[in-house]
Amino acid sequence: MTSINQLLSRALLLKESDVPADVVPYDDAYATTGWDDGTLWPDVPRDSIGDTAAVDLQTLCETVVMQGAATALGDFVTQQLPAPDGARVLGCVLQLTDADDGARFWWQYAAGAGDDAASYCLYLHHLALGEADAAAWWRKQTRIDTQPAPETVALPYDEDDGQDLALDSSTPTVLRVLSNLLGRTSRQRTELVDAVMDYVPGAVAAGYIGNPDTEIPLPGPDFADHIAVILAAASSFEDTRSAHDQQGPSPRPLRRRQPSAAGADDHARGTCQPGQAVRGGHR
Amino acid sequence: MSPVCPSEGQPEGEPPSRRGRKPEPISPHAGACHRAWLEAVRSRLFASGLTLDELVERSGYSKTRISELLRGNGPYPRWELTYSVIHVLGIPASPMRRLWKAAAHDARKKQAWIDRCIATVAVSLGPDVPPLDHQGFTETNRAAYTDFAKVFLLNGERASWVVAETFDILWLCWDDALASADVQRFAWKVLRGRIMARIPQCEGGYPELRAAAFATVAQDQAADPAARFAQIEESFLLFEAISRLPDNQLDVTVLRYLCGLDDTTAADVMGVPLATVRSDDRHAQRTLHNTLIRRHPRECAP
Repeated sequence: MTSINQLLSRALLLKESDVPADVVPYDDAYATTGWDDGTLWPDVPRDSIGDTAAVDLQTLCETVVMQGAATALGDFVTQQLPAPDGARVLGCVLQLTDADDGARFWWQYAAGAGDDAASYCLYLHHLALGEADAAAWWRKQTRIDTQPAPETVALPYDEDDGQDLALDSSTPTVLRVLSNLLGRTSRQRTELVDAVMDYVPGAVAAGYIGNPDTEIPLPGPDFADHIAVILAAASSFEDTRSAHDQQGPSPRPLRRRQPSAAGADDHARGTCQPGQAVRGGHR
Repeated sequence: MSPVCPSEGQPEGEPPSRRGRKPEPISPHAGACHRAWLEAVRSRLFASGLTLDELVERSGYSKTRISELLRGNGPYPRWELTYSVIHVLGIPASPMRRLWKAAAHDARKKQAWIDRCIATVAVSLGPDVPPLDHQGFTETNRAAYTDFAKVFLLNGERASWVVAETFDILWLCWDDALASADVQRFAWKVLRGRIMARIPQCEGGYPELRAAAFATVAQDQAADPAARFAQIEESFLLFEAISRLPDNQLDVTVLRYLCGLDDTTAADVMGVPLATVRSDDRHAQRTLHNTLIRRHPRECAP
């Protein structure tokens, strides 16, 4: 049987094709001056599934980054390789900064470590690109099908009518609701998120230039240190700001949190990592 | 490209302030080619920070006419009016004039009308030389762009036109391209948009790629007519399957196997990391395998 490689090896086109031009001339205005019809930008018709997936992915990434950056980015396996939690967050950071090439590979790494959220990111990522096969495969990895079915709740005010309300708490529905909610509010990012989003895309791009043969981003030997510095700086900023906030209305003495105290917070959670001091102050 | 005229009072070196209202959307009645240059002009105007009133004052035309031009309303604008606006915005005249003329043809304007319009404006096109980096960009990418365009357009001349058009559009918005995350990727999207807008599409919105089956090296080198016919049939099925690939996988497959570029060059041309090209290549091959080998094992047998 012929393999795809064999088929593709016979697909090369002639440089000078002898396919004759159509006897009816093309309606190309450029034959005399310029060109025919067309649009400037790639106005590629997108199906609504792809559009929805793109919006959902944006929402999911916003949520992951806002909620998880402070805790997940403190843990690195090596100087260039984050722990799976961090890889998921960094993938979302790249996605949000339109540098989604590296995002795919960081998510794959996290998904390989059993991170369902990363698998779901990959599902949405491929769906948004119209890559249905890959999307379907990653959807299976999310184990989303094992989630509970929508609950049925009786409405308290309409007992006589006997009407029930189905509460759908599935991931797609939650993301859709979140998208609508986030769309109505200003999506303010923390200093930490801003700093990470400023730094990571450039580091990843440089890593790809330096290591073109490697799929997973290798953002340089001091990547983990850079992230740790950003975490520490953001933590310090948050501390200063919270101290400033408390200074005005309250006559109470400031409870300025020391880095060690923040670390103690994390000790209490049993997840203390160097550079994770921001956790307690991050919203 | 000459820089965008900054609004008065704008400190040098600072991004232009955005004043006034954002222009209303382009009229749906504007032709696609008209829209192509109008989008670039509007983008430039918005980036410049000029208000409509300032543009009116500097161009010397009435607010109504400038407003119509910016929205693509009414009859196709004369070159005189268009030139007055692009002159204020610092848009180079020669690529813009080519775009304007092509759109005029698209709007069914007669050649005599176009020539008269052009003749009324004494424009020196001499200083309009593309920026050096734009020139370097075009020389670096022209061959690959033309090969890619030819796969879909089949005709080398048409492919060259599309590529020339792409480079002119890029010249108009070169600052935007440089400010984007990746110039190559920015340009690739423009090229792709121009090609896809003018090729026939199969049912389902897929690009028509099957005709290229008659232009493969393999069929050209076939030993006899029967072998040639078999090769064309094989390529016909393969190219139909390729045309149904998602955009990125389609681009990688066409560049790699129909144009014969190695993966590193394909990555450079598309402006994506090599890892992405390899990943898309793998995904594409798996999709093609599922489509062809599993569903049409007999047709694909040697």
